[in-house]
Amino acid sequence: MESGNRIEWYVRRVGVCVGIALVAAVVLAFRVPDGSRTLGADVIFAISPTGELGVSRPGPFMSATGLRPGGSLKGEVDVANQTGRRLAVRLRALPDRNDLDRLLVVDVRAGDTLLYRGRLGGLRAKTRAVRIESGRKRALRLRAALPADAGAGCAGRIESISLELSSTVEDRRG
Amino acid sequence: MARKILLSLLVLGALAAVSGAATFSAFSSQTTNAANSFAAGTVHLTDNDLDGAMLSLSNVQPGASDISCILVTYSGSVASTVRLYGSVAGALAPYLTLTVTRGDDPSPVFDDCVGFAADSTDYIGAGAGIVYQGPLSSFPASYGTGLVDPIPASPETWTTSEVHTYRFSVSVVDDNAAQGQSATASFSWEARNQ
Repeated sequence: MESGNRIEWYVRRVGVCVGIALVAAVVLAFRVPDGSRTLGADVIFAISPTGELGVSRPGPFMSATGLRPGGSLKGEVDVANQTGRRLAVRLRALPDRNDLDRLLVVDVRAGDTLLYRGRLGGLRAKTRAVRIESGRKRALRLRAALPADAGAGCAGRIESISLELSSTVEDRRG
Repeated sequence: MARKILLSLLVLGALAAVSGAATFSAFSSQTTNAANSFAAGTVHLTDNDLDGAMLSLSNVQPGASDISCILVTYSGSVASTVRLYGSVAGALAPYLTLTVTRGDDPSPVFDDCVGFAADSTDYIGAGAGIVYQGPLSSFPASYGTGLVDPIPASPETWTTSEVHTYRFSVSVVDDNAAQGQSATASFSWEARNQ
């Protein structure tokens, strides 16, 4: 092969390689980048009235989107005794799934009285009772948190938690 | 010459394949919708009476009356219509005039009517909020003949957490035939999603 043809042969191949490199660079430039943050959990707490008990905010009353380990949400709802008797009122959670049962820590208070503190899974059982006189109302304060060491188990979870009220008559007609 | 054209086409094809694969790899990510669940809706109606009676008359004279209010709460998940009917017995029933008024009470307590406010609509031409007025003995006895809440022409569609208060008033008419008679009654609200 003559010297001129050999140079042309090399130039053509170098050109092809440069072309491939350019196309690769363009494709990489338009590549969708990976996310750098952890996906959080969406948590919604809702409550409904019963015949005996009214609530100030029926339906969802506290929620958080993208809740990550270390994050928390708070909410408050008034519960009214609509009967003619004093009632012992209890609360329990009915999550639509159990993904966050071992991760979410819930704290339920009526005034200064602690009704429940623990994992969401434990709130499937009824809390301690709070007394509400006939015609009176008590504020229930809830706080739910994902501990900092909750890990990635909460990532992308969407959980709607219905709180169920129940009551029993405490004493004679008041 | 033909060899060069063929080679060029091969190179272009390879480039297209590489860039195409890279492009699709960026925009064809897969997502899965798992754990689908299916649950039937609920129709659930409750009141605040704790199974206690709301009306009581004993040893009364003509003109005597009793008034009581009851709160009815819908906690079902599917919208429903509601009918009111009752079960009445006793010879005094024709001599008792019953008035049922629909309204709201911001602070309801069974069975007082302190905060009761009747609906402003005159449903049956008997006054604001009144849905029934007549002898207790004529009160509808079944769902089929029950009072559509509040009126058949425009039934209310009850949704989750909807509440309404009903005031019941009963009085004894001035008729000697009522002497010594007695009667009992129970009232029911029934929701159906239709």
